[in-house]
Parts: sequence; structure tokens; C-alpha cells
Amino acid sequence: MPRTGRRPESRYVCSSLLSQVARLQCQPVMNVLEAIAARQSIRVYQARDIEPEKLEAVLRAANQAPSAGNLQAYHIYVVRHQATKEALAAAAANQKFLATAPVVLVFATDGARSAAKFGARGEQVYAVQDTCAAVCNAMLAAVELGLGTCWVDAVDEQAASQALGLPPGQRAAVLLPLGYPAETPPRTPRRPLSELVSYCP
Amino acid sequence: MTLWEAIRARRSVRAYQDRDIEPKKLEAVLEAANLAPSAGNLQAYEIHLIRDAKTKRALAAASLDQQFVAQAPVVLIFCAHPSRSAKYGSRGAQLYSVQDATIAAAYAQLAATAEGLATCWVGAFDDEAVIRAAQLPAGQRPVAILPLGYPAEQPAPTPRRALADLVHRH
Repeated sequence: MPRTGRRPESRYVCSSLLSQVARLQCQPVMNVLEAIAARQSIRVYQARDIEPEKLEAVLRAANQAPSAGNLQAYHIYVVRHQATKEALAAAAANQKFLATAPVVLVFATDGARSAAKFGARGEQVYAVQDTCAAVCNAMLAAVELGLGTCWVDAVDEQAASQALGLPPGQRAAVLLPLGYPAETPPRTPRRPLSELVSYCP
Repeated sequence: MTLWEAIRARRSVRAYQDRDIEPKKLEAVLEAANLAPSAGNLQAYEIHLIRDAKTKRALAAASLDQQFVAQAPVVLIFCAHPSRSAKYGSRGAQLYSVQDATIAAAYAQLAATAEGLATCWVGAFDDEAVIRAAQLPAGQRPVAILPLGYPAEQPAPTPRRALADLVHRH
């Protein structure tokens, strides 16, 4: 699989004629399985900024994710401010590469949105799953746009939440640095399906 | 179907055709799940694949009686397997394993959509009843149940917040 970050722009089929306010300006040609296979955790980013329409496309993809009862129990914080990115890196076990990405997306759970209908299970389980599903869509959309990400779990959620000044009740659950990749990591191994999948009686 | 089209086309489908899934398509869904990222690449989750009608009925009963679960030709149970994430202590066991299973389920959903199949993320169930129904091994916890099959309904898209309400820029 060719490195997604280096795919030539010509692979994108621009559909300016079809452009509508709610649509992407450029429609990439990668399908789901290609994007899933191409995704890697990127920890080195180019200094180059992200085009606003690409950031928007990543956010729109996240917003399409499923959620329990369609309650969408999460929020996304787009962080560009250097000092804030550094504070997030410090909160995430000092993973300094976080602060080198032009943008860090913080996915925060909002347990109360789910608890209102689903009680404790909504707050403790569904809000986390809603958040993760949104991160998944964002990660794959980024790959398709030639961008790299790395799923970073905030080691100290309280510190990360403080760095952002999150409202009470929201927890910074996942940090997703976003930028053009400046590395090509080796593929990580997976179990054979025969070890992962059990065929039940 | 492009990735974006699949993201837009995915729906929660609660009625399935009485038609089996081609092995190749099922394989594609499982392969997609297996490519999901996981904390430290520890892949702290397992997938249980159910075809038996009686087991599916028991799973439906364990899921607040959502009968459509039993209607799909295949039901996938995504389980957290905390001991695989033990390297990360209690955070690994309690959070990362759940996230790993959740991401794999999300990938499976998108791959299913791309293959013309449908799913519904079922999260409302009695953990213990699911464990009993599918005879899950000790040490695994179900976090998502995905019935999988050809759709027999076309639900309308569900509304989303405006990006301005969801995204906060710093």
C-alpha cells in the first residue's frame, strides 16, 4: 500500500461542479477497505498546515458517526494554539510529538448527554463508545485526505481537560494529532483471523 | 463506494433479508476489524461469530428483547479482553480494552456498508446474559453486538448537530 501522505493530488477527483455548501470540495477516491488498510499511527508531522476544507471534511466525517440513541455524547475541540498543544502533550505522558502536529483534535466525552436517557450505562459506556466511533471516522477520513493521525489516550484526563478549560462533565478522552505525515512507520502485525474470531455454536 | 460515501450511507438497520452473507464479504468485514488500531497494538478484544438461531434468540432476549438481533444471518459480538491489555494496568484493562473492541466494531460497520451489508450497533444488553447465551470465555466482556446481513429496510438519515455546535475551536 503506497504511503497515503505522499499520494499525488491528482488522485483526488475534484467535483467543483457538484459543490454544495454541505459537500466536500474534493472527493477522494479511496474506498473503505483501502483507507482502513492504509491507516497507520503517525508520530512525526510536516510543519505544513492543513487546508481548512480538509479539516472540515475530517470533522464532518466524525459528525456522521453512530451513537447510542443518536445522542452524540461527545464534543470535539480543535486545538491550534502552541501552548495548549504543549500542555496536552504534557498531560499525555509527555508524548511530545503531539505538539508538533499543526492541529490536535480533542474528543471529549459528554456523559450527561447520554445519561439523560440511558442513566449510568449511558454515562459510563455509551458516551465512551460514541466518542470512539467519532474518532474512528475522523481517522479514516484523514487517511483519505492524505493526512496522518495517532490515537493518543490522555493519560491524565484531568490535566488535559484543564488545559482546554473544558466545562464540568466533559472529559478529554482521546487526543488526535492531525497533520501531513513525515514518516513511514512499518506495518504493525495482527493476529490471523483464526485467532481473533471464534465461531460459536 | 468511497470512504466518504460509506460514512454517509451507514445506517442502523433493524430489519434484515432472509439471505445469507457470502463468505468473501464476511471475511472482508472481519479483516477490516482486524486492521483496527489498538493501544500498544495489543488487540485487547475478541470477536465471536454467531449463526445458530437459538443462540441468536438468546442474544436478542439479552438485548432488551430487540428481536431484530435474531433476524440477521450473522451476529458478531465484540468483546473486550482486558488481560491482553494488562501491560497498561487498570487503565488498560478497564478502558483500552473497551476502546480496542469499540474501534474494531466501528471498522466492521464501515466495511459492512461498503460490502452492501448492514449492521446495527447494539449496546443495550445485559452483560451476564450475553456471556451465558454465547458461552463466552471467562475474562471477556461484551461491549458491542452487531447483527450483520442484507438490509430489508432503508431508514432515513438521523439528524446531526451543526458542526458549530459540535466543534469548539481553540
